[in-house]
Amino acid sequence: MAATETGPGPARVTPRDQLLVVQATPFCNIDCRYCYLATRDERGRRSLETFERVVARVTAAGIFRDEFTICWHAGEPLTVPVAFYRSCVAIAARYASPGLRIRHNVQTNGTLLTPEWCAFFREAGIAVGVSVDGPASLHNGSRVDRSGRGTFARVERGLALLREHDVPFSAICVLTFRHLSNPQELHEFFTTSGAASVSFNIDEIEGPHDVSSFQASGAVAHFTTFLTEILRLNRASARPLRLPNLDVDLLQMRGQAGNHQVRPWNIVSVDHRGNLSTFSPELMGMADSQYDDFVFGNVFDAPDGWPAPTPALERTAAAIAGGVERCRRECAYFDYCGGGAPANKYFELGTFEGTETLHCRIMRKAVLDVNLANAEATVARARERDVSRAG
Amino acid sequence: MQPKVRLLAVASGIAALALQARAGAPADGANFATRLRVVQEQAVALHLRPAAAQTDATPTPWNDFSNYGGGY
Repeated sequence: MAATETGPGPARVTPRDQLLVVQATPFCNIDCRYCYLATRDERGRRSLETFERVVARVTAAGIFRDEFTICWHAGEPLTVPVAFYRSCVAIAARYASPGLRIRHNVQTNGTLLTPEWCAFFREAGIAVGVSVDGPASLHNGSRVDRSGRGTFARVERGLALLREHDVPFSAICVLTFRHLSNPQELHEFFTTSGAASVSFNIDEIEGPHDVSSFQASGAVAHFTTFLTEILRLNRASARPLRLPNLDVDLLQMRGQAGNHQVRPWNIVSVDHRGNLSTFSPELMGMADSQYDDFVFGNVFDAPDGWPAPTPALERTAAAIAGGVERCRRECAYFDYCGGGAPANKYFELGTFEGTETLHCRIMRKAVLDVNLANAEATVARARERDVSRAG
Repeated sequence: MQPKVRLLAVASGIAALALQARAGAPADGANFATRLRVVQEQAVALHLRPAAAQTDATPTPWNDFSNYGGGY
């Protein structure tokens, strides 16, 4: 790949990982302490015309192949009425074809779920992700409303509705340093929550959230102990959870997989005004004149085709490629990471051209180290069985 | 398992243990790459891992969209 390649191109990611992140509104009804979204007070809303334009442009330009997922995110999607999404699903269906499947998913804080939402998700086949940080004692530490009150009771009601209406859902749990002392409590909560899978993240340094609880000394060691225990509990469980980003089967996995965040237009992010961004979705809406605030076009700019690469897009792509190249040269984990998340480099290091971040020390290196130790233990057990059989 | 294959698996296991002892247990940096290669070779010898390499489109920790959610 050329260092400054900026046109749409085939992504080395699975079709399901082709993502169109669509912001219905930047507004969020709650005020999580670690939120990266600087515009979450703004009540602007996307029009149906803008949405149709987005889908028309993306499909006409052949940005994605075979299938892609419209991810309603970057603001609380459920602050916009069900009727809006009903229309959007119908619009998107007009642009789908036998050769191009379009999925929808919604990432919600769960506090505004109603029977009507549940019925709609089921009817429209929309995948649902709920952001919940574990039981009340952990969740309420960060996920608070605009009065500073914990939101757990409201989320719990939402989860109960999803279960009651048989709506499958996944969960995202943002870990803070405090979670690390409670692996058992956390595992038990998610096992009984009804979530089909749980993805974990940490409170990252991003946007206005310029500190992380994982900057505490000993965070890597503490996280390693936590993760080892969570994986042990999960393997011993009668109903193990799917933990897609913690439980990594290194005995089956091959390296050299793609990193969808480092090439332009592998991920397309669109704000509620139709502004187009790419690379890490967290960059959308971040003020930085050097990179034109990471706005690389607008769906209404040009009548046909995909917006030509702007100088800011060229600069961003070149800087990101420089950072990826350094990771390739300097990091032993590169084959299982692909050069990191540009947003983490930008917010933590102040440049895309850096390498190691706090996020990669915890969520990549420590995760891979723990899974490597587990792989070694699996092989050692198999070898012992083999030797005892041969003996 | 054929005796020769078993012998290879045991030998590579000993090599891995020696490397770990030299580097001081927890994986880091180059130690990670070496240990991973060794354990994957052992897994092939023990039929825990297919020998044929498929290099593309295998989800890695990066590709799970843990930050972006919604049904993954």
